[in-house]
Amino acid sequence: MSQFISVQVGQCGNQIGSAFWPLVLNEYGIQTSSNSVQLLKTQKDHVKNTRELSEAFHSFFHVPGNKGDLSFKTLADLNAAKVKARTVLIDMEDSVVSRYRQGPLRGLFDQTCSVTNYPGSGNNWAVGHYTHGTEYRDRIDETVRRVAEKCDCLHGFMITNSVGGGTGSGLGTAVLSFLEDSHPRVDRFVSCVFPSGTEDVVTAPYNVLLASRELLEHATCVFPVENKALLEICNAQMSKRENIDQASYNGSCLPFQDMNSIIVNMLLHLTSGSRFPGSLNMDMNELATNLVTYPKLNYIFSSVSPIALTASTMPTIPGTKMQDQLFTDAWSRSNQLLKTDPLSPGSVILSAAHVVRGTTSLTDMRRNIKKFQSKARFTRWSKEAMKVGLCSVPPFGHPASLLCLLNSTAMSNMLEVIVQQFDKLYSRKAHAHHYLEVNGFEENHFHESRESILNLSKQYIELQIQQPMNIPRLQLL
Amino acid sequence: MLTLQFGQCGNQVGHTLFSTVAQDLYSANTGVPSKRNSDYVQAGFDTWFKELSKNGKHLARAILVDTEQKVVNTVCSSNESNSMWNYSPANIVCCAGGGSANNWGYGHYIKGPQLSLAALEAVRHEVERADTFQGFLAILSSAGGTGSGVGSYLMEKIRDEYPTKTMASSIVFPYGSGEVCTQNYNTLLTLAKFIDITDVAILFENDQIHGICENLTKVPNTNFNDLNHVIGQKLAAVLQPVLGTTNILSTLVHQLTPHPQYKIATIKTSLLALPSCQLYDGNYKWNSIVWHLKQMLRAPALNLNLTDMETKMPSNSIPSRTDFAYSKSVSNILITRGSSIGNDTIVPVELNDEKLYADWVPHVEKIAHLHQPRKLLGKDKTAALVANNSQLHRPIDAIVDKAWNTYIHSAFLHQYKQHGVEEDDFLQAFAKIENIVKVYRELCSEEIIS
Ligand SMILES: Nc1nc2c(ncn2[C@@H]2O[C@H](COP(=O)(O)OP(=O)(O)OP(=O)(O)O)[C@@H](O)[C@H]2O)c(=O)[nH]1
Ligand SMILES: Nc1nc2c(ncn2[C@@H]2O[C@H](COP(=O)(O)OP(=O)(O)O)[C@@H](O)[C@H]2O)c(=O)[nH]1
Ligand SMILES: [Mg+2]
Repeated sequence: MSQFISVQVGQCGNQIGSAFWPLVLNEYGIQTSSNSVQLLKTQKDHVKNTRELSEAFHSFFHVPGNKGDLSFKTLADLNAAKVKARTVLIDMEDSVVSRYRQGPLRGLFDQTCSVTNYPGSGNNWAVGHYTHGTEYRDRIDETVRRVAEKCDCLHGFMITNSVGGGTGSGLGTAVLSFLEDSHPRVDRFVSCVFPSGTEDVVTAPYNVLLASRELLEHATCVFPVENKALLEICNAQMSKRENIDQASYNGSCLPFQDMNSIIVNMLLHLTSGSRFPGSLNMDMNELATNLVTYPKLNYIFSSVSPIALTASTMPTIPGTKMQDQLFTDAWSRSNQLLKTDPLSPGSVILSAAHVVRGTTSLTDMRRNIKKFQSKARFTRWSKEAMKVGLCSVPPFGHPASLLCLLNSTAMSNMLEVIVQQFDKLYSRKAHAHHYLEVNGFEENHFHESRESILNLSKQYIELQIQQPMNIPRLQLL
Repeated sequence: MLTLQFGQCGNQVGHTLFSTVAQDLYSANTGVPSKRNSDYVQAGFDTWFKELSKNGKHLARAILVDTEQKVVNTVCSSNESNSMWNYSPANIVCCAGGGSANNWGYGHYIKGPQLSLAALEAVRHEVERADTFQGFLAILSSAGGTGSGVGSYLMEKIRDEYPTKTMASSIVFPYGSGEVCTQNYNTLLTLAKFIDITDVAILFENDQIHGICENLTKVPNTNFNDLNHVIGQKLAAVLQPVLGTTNILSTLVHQLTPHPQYKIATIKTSLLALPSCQLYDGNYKWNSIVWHLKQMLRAPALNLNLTDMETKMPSNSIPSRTDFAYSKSVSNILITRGSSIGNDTIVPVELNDEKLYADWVPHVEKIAHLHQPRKLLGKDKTAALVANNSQLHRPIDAIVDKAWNTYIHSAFLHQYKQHGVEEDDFLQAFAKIENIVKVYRELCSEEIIS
C-alpha cells in the first residue's frame, strides 16, 4: 500500500493539516468527537467498504507492529494501538502546532515530528528560506528521515503551505529542495494557497513570486489554490440547507476551517487512487506522466464536485443525470480552486484527468469525456490527452464524486498577475531591503524569479498559439 | 499452457478468463455423453489448472505480475469465497509501490528489472511441473506502464530462456477517446516489442468490445467487468479443448502466421454467452453463423463506416445479394463448439471464399476448421473466427497517427527520456509499426505481392 507523508509548513500549512486529519479519520470510519459531541456523521453505507478502508489506513498512519485486520472505531482505539500520523509539522511560530498538542487528536502527533520555533519569519520569504532554512535543515532532515523510516513503501510527500507568508512560502520551498536531495525518487506534491490580494501581508507579492519559482523547479506537481476562490465557494455552499451539518462543524474549528476543508476534500480525492482499489486505478505517480506535458509545466488546475463534505439529502442511487451533473459542475468556474478559469476563451487544454470515486460506469465516463472534448479547446496533439481514473470507494457522505485536473494555458493569466503584483511593489523597492539584509539572499533572486515566471508564462502562450507542425509520418520504401 | 497476467488490465482480464474457463468446465449442460465430457474436462483442467490447493480449489497455471498490490489483492480476494479455483500465492509477483506511472520507459527499464528475478523463477517452476507444456499466453493492456513496459521486458527474458516455446499475447488497446495521456506512445512501444517477441499477438480494442457490450447485452451502463466478460469468452471460445489438437496455441500459430510479417490476429465471435443472447439460443443454423462471421470481414466501401456486424445477432435469412467486398486475410481459423448433425452441419466453404484472402496465400493455408461437439458454457452453438486480416491496420494506424502527432510536437517526451527512452528508440518503433500498417493495408490492394 502506497504511503504518504504530509509535510505541513507555516501557519496556513498547519491549519490545513488540522482540517485534514479529522477528515481523514472520518473517511476511514473513525469517529472524532470533541466535548462528547460527535462532529461529523458517519455514513451507513460506509461499512460496505470496510475492508478497503482498513487496508488503506496505512497510507497516512503508522501502526506499530501492524498486523492483519485493523478494526479501529474510535480515537481511543488508535491511541491504545499507538497509531501515529505520517506527518512532519514545521512552523517557525508555535501557536498552531501547539494546538495539535492540546487538541483531541494529540495522541496521533509525536513530539518528535514537529519542528517549531519562535517568533516566525516575519512574512519574509528570505528569512524563511535562508535564515531558517539553514538553521533548521539538519533538524528537518532528521525529522523527515524518522517519519520516512516508518514507511515501507513511501510514495510521496504532500506538502501544504501558503506562498503569501514567510514560513510556508520561504521555508516550505526550502524543505521542498531538502526533500528532493534526501529522497530524489519520491514524488513531491504541493498544494499551496495563494493570497487573495486583499489581505494583510504587504510583502505577499515578493513571497509569492519567489516561492512560485521554487515550486516550478522542485515540485513534481503543484496544485495552487486561491483564497478568493475558496471564499466564493464557501459563500455559495455553506448557506445551503443541506450543508448545515458541515457549517456547524466548521464553526467549531479553527479559522479558515471551511476554506481549508475544500482543499482537504481535493487532497483526499487526489490520493484516493493510490489508497483504494478501483477498476481503473490512478496512482499518484501517474499524475506527472499524464499532466506534465513538457518539463516544468507542472502547475495544475483542480476542481471537485460535489463540493460539500457531507450531504445527507443526496440521492443514494445515482442516475445518468447525476453523473452528468458531476462533470458539468467540475468544469464550471464555481468549483475551481483558482479564480482563473482553465477553460477561459482563448486558452487551450494541454492535458486533463478525470477521476471518479464511487458509483459510475464507463458509459457515463465516455459520454462526458466526449462532451469535454467538444467543449474545450486543445492543441493539435492534446485532444486525446485524457486520463481517466475509477476508484471504487466513494468519499465520505456521497455516492460518487469527481476530481477534474487540468493543465491549461490559462495558467499564464495567473502567472502574469503574480509578476504584475511583484512589479508594483518592486518598482518602489518597498520592503526590499528586509530581504536584502538576509544572509544568502541577493537582489538577483528577485530578477531571476521574475524571469523564470515570465518564461513559464510565455511558454504557455506559445503553446496556445502554437503553429501546428506538419511533418509527414515516416515513409517506408 | 502458462498464462502471464501483466498490470491492471492483464490481471482483471486474466481473472475473468479463468473464471469463465472454470465455469465452463463445471457446466452441466454439455450436449455430449459423459465420457466425452470427462475427456474435455480433463483436457481443460490440464491446460489451465494444476493440482488442488489445501482447501480443495484448483490452482491456476498463471503468474500475476504487477507493480502495485491493489488489483492483485482485489482479484485474489474475490476468489476466496464461493469459487472453485484460485491463484497460487507463490505465483504473485508484485512489488509494493505505485505502479509504473503509465510510462512504458519506467516499466521497462526500472520496474521490469526489479521484478525479473522473481518472475522468471515462478515461470521456471511452472514450466517444469507441467507434463506437456503448450506455451505461454500473455495478457496485458498496451496503454499503461506495467502491462506494456514490464510485460515486454519480461516476455523478452522469457523468450531468451525458452526460444522454441510457443508464445502468444493478448493485447488490449485503449479507448480512442483517451484513458491515459501517454497511451499512444505506450501502445507504439509495446507493439514494437511484442511483434518481435511473441509468435502471435491477438488484439482487443476496448472501443469495439464496448460496442459489443452495449448492443448485445441490454445493460444500460457498461463497466470493465462487462468488457472483460466478452474478452474472457472470446479467449475461452478459442482456447478451450478442441478435437484434433492437443496444443491449441501452436496450432494457432502455425495456421495463422504463414508469413513472418503478419503476426497479428483478432477473434470474431458469433453467439457469445451474454445475457441477452440466451433468448435466441438454438435458433440459428450453423450456416447462418458462418455467414455472420464472414460478414464481420467485410470491407467498408468508399471510407464509409460499416456497422460492426459483431455487435449484431446473426440472421437466419441470408440475403440474396452476396457480392460484398471483403478485407483480405492472410489466414483464418474457425473454431466451432456444439453439435453439428443431420441437416445442420458446419460447412465452412463460405470462409474459403477467394475474395477473403490475399492473392498470394496458397489455397491449403487459407482456413483451418477445428470443432468441439461439447457445448461451451452450456450454449448450443458458439463459433469463433481467429482472423489475421487487413482490417487490423485501422486501429494500429490510428494509434501511430496520434503518437506521431504528439511526437513531432515533443509532448511528454521528457518523461520517457528520464528513463532512457531516446528519440531514436521512438523512431525505430515508429518505423516498425509503420511497416506493419503498410503490409496489412496493402493486403487489400492488388498489386503488392510478397
Ligand atoms: N478491457 C479492459 N481494459 C482494461 C481493464 N483495465 C484496464 N484496462 C485498460 O488498460 C489501460 C490502462 O492500463 P492498465 O492495465 O491499467 O495499466 P498497468 O499495466 O497496470 O500499468 P500502470 O498502471 O501504468 O502501472 C486502459 O486502456 C484501460 O482501458 C480491464 O479490466 N479490461
Ligand atoms: N486557505 C487558507 N489560507 C490561509 C490560512 N492561514 C493563512 N492563510 C493565508 O496564508 C497567507 C499568510 O501566510 P501564513 O501561513 O500565515 O504565513 P507563514 O506562517 O509565515 O507561512 C495569507 O495569504 C493568508 O490568507 C488557512 O488556514 N487557510
Ligand atoms: Mg496499474
